[in-house]
Amino acid sequence: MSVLFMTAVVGLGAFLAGLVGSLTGIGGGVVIVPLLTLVFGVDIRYAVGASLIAVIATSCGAAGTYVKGGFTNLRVGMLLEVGTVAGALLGTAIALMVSPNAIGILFAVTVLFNSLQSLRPRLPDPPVTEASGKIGRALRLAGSYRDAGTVRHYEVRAVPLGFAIMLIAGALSALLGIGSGVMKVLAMDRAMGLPFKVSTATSNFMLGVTAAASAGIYLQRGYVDPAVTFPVVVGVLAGARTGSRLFPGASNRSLRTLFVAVVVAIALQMLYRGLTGALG
Amino acid sequence: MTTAGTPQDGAVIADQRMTTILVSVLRIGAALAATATVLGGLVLLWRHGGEPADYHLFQGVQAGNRTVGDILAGTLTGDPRSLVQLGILLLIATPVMRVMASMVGFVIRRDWAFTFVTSLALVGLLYGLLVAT
Repeated sequence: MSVLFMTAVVGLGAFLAGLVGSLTGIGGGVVIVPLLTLVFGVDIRYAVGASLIAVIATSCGAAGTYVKGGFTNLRVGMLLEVGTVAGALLGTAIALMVSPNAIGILFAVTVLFNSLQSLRPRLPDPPVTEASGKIGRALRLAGSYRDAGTVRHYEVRAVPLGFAIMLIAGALSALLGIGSGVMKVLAMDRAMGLPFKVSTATSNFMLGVTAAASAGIYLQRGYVDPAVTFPVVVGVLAGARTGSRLFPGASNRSLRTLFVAVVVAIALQMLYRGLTGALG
Repeated sequence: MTTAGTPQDGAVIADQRMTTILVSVLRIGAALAATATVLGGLVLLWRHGGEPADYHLFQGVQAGNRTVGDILAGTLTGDPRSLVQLGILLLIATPVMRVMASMVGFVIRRDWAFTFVTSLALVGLLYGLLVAT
């Protein structure tokens, strides 16, 4: 198999990764790792490096369109980013003390459980009480977005809980070389009460910063190989751009279904890698 | 969530100008990164496209393409691998520039709470990229 052939197939796979990653707010790393390791037998470390860069590419490729369309809650995104960056620095600091395999298994079980729960018919949102929405109001986090022609307004609650989850998401990003988009979307959608589309667009916005905080370490360790990563970057940027054009017309329901399907795939993959010791 | 008719809250779509600037930063960053990566990648393919693909063994990227200084130096000598790495660096720099632009925007709007928030994110990012590595 020639380099040219591998580049073409990886580029196509990366396009798909950027498409799905930008629509679900998960980032584009999902498809990249199994494609590179299982199909092309690439060493897991090169695959993780390429996957982390794919997350940044998904974010940069789609974020402009989401911000312009008013789907991203900029203030929520910028506030929670502080949590993910702090978490990423923490993760880097403790990287040598913990077992990535155990962490990966823990991650898989947690997101599997939470995402399957999110498929159940959603209960009416608990009202945003004086206490639960206090910080959201003080920082003017509430927002509105356009959905199927109507402007929908939403409040933001449980900011401290959301921030705490972002610390964990950031640490996982540094430890596992992932974007942690799943945890971001779940935190905003389920804990903070943001509409699903706003959660995915805001997660996509934040992913670039989270992954950038961890990327320096992976670059420096020599995990980011130019020949492996080049088709990934190009494919993902194109896929994310396409995804961001489809996004405004997609319903919350269809995006949620896609999200859960992808999460199940990610969790099973992470579980497999954790159990076989491939994360260490 | 209530439907329709609520006046748009200042929080999200307030400053159209800031939105425009952030969108420009993101798009220009992505375009520059794509250009460098594609150029370097095409030269790489031109030279090595016919060789067998073998990444089974982890050898680590050659020392010359891991740090900012080395990547810049390699790019100047015309090494296509360094040019791809430069594109990747530009990609990593894009969210950092976006955080910087937001911070400046909040300073102009005299929104001190969010000036503080974005400066924390920026300090953390720069620490992670420059010091921790």
